[in-house]
Amino acid sequence: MKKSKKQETSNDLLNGNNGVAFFAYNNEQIDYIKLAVLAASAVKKHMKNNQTCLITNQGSLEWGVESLSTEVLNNTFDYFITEEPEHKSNIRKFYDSPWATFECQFENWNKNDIIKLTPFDRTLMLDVDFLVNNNFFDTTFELDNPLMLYTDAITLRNEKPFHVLERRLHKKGIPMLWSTAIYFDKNDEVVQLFFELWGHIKDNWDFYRYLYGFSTKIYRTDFAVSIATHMLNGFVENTLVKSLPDNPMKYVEPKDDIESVLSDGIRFLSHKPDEEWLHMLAVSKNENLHIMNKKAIDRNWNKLMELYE
Amino acid sequence: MDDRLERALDFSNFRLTLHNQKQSAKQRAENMLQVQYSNSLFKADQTLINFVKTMKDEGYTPFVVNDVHNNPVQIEDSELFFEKLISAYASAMNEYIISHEKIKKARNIKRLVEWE
Repeated sequence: MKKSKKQETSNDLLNGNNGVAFFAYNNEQIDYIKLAVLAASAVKKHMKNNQTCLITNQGSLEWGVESLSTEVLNNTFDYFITEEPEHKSNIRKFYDSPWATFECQFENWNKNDIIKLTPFDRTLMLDVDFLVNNNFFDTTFELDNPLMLYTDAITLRNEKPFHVLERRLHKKGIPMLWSTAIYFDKNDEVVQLFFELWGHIKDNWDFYRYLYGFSTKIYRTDFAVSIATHMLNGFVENTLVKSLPDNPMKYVEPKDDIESVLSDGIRFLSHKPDEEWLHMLAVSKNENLHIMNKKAIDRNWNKLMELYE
Repeated sequence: MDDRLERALDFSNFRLTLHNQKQSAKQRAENMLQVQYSNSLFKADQTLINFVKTMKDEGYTPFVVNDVHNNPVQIEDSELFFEKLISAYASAMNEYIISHEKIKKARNIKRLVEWE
């Protein structure tokens, strides 16, 4: 593993060694490095605790240098960590609006290793399709809770997730927590236990699929953290892991699309889950957003970058 | 399509979009009401602000309040805590009323979603 550091950091040193980390492993369909640059730019623009770290592999990093330039990467990230994840097949179906789908490898096997990889004492791990549009996350670094994530989510229509598998692991299963954004203090013992258990669940995925009664075969980190939390909490509903300050997480579903980028926000086309041909326009401003339609981010990348200049 | 039905459905779509934008503004205000004090999180609502003001004015310092997770937290510096609460309340509600008024004035979907 190579760990390198840039010369300057933008963190307020009075805040301690805090920062935000991103995993980005490109595949043949999605340029995760490009998405990570956008997500980290949003962090730099809106947060005070804005040291950033990119965890990636050599191939993705080289493509990032070629397609975006070293300068862009160095301006966006304070730390680069190259880590080649163990390759296991994890083919996932992605949507780009209700009308287009594609399948590709989803590289998320080493997300639980963040506790070993992060250069920060207190880390906010964000998915690269999560855009920070306010400073609410700065509060997390000042709270007494060593582990926080989103325990609920709402769609662009301000409704609970339509599909049961985005609310519970199965229709009578435990509640689903979201691994999209996880804040943790790596020096806390319970946090260390949590990440160890997450690793164990991942290594025994088929057993836990059977035990928790869900049918999806792909490895989902949302499910893994939900199970780890449930187990650590004495096999009852979660009171251990606290919600992030702006819980519920607002998310843009994979079948939604970006209609256009405004000067101070984003206008979306939000599909109606039970009648997919019907759409509603929704404007989002100053809200943190998990935009699950990655192709939509890619299509609008240049304009989205302008929001974070 | 019958004109009457078309007009009704247009209005129905407008109401749906209106409701959604109102909900988003409300959610944003709820998030802005959160205040961090003594490593804990509080919601600067009217009840808490009044309670803190009463305790402060009556000289009950320090005193204990529950945070958003219902954990008791001792408030040592009631002046600072009160300042943080009213400051969060004022900025959240000022932004909320501006958004709300803007949404209220919009008479069609294009206005609501800033199409024009």
